[in-house]
Amino acid sequence: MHITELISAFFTSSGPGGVVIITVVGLAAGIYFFLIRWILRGSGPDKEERYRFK
Amino acid sequence: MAKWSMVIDLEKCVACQACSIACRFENNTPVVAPEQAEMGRAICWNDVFPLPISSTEETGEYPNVTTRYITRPCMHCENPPCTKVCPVGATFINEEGIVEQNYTRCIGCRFCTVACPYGVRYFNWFEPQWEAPLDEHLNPDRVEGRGVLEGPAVRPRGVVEKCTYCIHRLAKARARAGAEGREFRPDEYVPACVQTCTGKARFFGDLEDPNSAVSQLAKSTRAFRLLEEVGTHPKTIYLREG
Amino acid sequence: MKSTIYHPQNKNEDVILAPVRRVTFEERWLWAVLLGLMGLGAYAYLTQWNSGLGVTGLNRPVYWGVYITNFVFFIGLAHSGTFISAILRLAGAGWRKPLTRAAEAITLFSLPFGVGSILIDMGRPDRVLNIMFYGRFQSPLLWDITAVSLYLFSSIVFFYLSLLPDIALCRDRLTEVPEWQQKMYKILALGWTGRPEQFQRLERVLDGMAIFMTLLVVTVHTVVSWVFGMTVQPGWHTALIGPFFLVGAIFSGTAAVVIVLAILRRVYHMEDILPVSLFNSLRKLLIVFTVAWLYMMIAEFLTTSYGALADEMPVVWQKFTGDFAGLFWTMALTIFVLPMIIFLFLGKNHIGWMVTASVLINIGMWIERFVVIVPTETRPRFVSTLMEGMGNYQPTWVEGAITVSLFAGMVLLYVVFTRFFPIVPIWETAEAAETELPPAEPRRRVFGMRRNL
Repeated sequence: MHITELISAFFTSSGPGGVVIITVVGLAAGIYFFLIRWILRGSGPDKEERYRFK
Repeated sequence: MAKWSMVIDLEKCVACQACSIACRFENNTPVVAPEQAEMGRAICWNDVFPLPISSTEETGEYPNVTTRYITRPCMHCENPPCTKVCPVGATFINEEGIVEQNYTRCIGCRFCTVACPYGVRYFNWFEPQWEAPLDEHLNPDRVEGRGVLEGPAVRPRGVVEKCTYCIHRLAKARARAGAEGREFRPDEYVPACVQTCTGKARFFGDLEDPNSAVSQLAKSTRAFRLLEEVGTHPKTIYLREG
Repeated sequence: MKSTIYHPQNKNEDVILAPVRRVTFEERWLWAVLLGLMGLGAYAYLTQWNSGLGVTGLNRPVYWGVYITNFVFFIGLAHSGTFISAILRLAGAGWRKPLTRAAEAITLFSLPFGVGSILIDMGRPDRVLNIMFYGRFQSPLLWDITAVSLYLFSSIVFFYLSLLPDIALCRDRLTEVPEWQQKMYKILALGWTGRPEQFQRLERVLDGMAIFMTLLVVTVHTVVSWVFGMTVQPGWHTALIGPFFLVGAIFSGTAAVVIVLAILRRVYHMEDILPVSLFNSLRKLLIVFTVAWLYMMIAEFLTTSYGALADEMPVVWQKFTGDFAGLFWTMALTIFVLPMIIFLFLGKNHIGWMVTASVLINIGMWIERFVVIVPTETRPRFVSTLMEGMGNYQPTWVEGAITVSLFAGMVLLYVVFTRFFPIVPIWETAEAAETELPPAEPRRRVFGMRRNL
């Protein structure tokens, strides 16, 4: 397999090609990463305010 | 730009199969074992077979039998259902209307083979092989480039192949004209089946040229195309018998 | 600074954790058998890798056969998990809670084999990267790959998030397991401490992802069906193919959940946690799906037969009276007739009959995928089927062995999973969270009980 040819084709091809797959999955990965971090952090200093507004 | 097309006169065709044989030798079509052929794996870019094609259509009762034969290369459609579905662009239609097949890029998913309504596409189920002495008669012509391998070049296993309107002959004719420092003339390019046809039933040329044989014949009242209702706009045109 | 760690109280905790604490001798034999079957499949694939796809029964015009059937079937099976955990979650069906992880695990462990089936079917698997670098988005296969990749990835995340509080529980409770296993829990728990805010956020994210996963379920199986629907071939090129595949997927998936639940219930002694009422709820769903499937079949075949187009009818006859009649009518029997009789007259409160019906349904659904794919290929418009051998398909041992090994692989991954993580979500079935209340209040009451490490 000629990896250099493949990579140059990736950037020169006329259609969106694999860019779409990578973008979609990459975007999902990014979103999930931040969501997991957000979950684990819990809230913190706003704890009191949150209960007050419930 | 040229628009290459083939016209086949069924009135003159006697189903001698010389076209099929010429095609297989020109294009290095692999031979398959008899058991494989019985399974339906024979490769025949230009196929000659009886019409009607299935037992649900009428052939009649002896002696009032209607038997016809048709010789069928690739249709080289203007709206090809096969090129639409190829995930990697291994098959595509070029500017001159030839539907090409690139063996290097093909991943063998066989989407194009199931999408073609004419069944003109074939697959290499094994590594192509020839028994002696056939292996000494391979056509050395190749259409090759960076990441491109087409035409008669010996295929690797696991890729799709089909009639190319002998695209290597087009390349050779253009190269020869270029080498001789002159214009390429469309009549220098003729596929092997057209050249060989014993009944002079096949014609080939440029539909964009109103004076070419194919343009004239395409206007004939006997002209028809296969499966016109499917909307593929095939460029292989037939002339009805009678 | 060591923060206190909270775990929801669940009276069934010990029963649920029991399988994780101890692996039986018989179980290891099961693993060995499954590995053996996978080895057989690997050997079969090796012959294909060495010689080519010619070792299968595929031919012209039947270019797609058992492998593509497996692809559609396993992706369809995957929709079970998402249906139970995502769609039923959005519907507020509290009874689904004990099932969610078991169902999602089916999703997680069947998707890779669906994807694998495509790779197995390729003539040149060594060129798979061509799809990434030369991919054409005009091709339905690219839509397929994008949708399924996104679905697989999202399922993994959704599964992991639902598992997270229980990983933390394992980390804290399971002190007798091997060192490496404890370390695994510690790493995977990501420092989860079970604070109310963490649970709140988790529930919100799961709600959001449930919506997203529901959309994905619809998209994925519709897109899978469009690999066939976007061609012009008779029997494939029908607008109904999207909904048809979708209904079939959720149907076979739900039946698979019944089978898995019955096995788990028996093997891990979870009679109280997975009561008969669950199976009765699933029974009602399955009745709806069976009828929906029948509706699709009638809509498709009545329409096609009434119009009687010359291209379409040979395919219809192949299924009704031709080479595939045996398979077609077996399918009708195992998907509709027998299950309906069982559901209506025998299945209520009877888990044995439910499992029987579900097994029949899944066998029938595999046949259904096969019967959608192959008959169309055997009656093409323009390939002479009068000639020797044309239009027949006889799968070989290679295809059979590989199919068996895919099922073995899925089962193996599943049983190994149940030995490392609780298969029933302990935190979701905890006492205080019986109904769909806003998470904050019940959790605060539960977290009156503190457990320090």
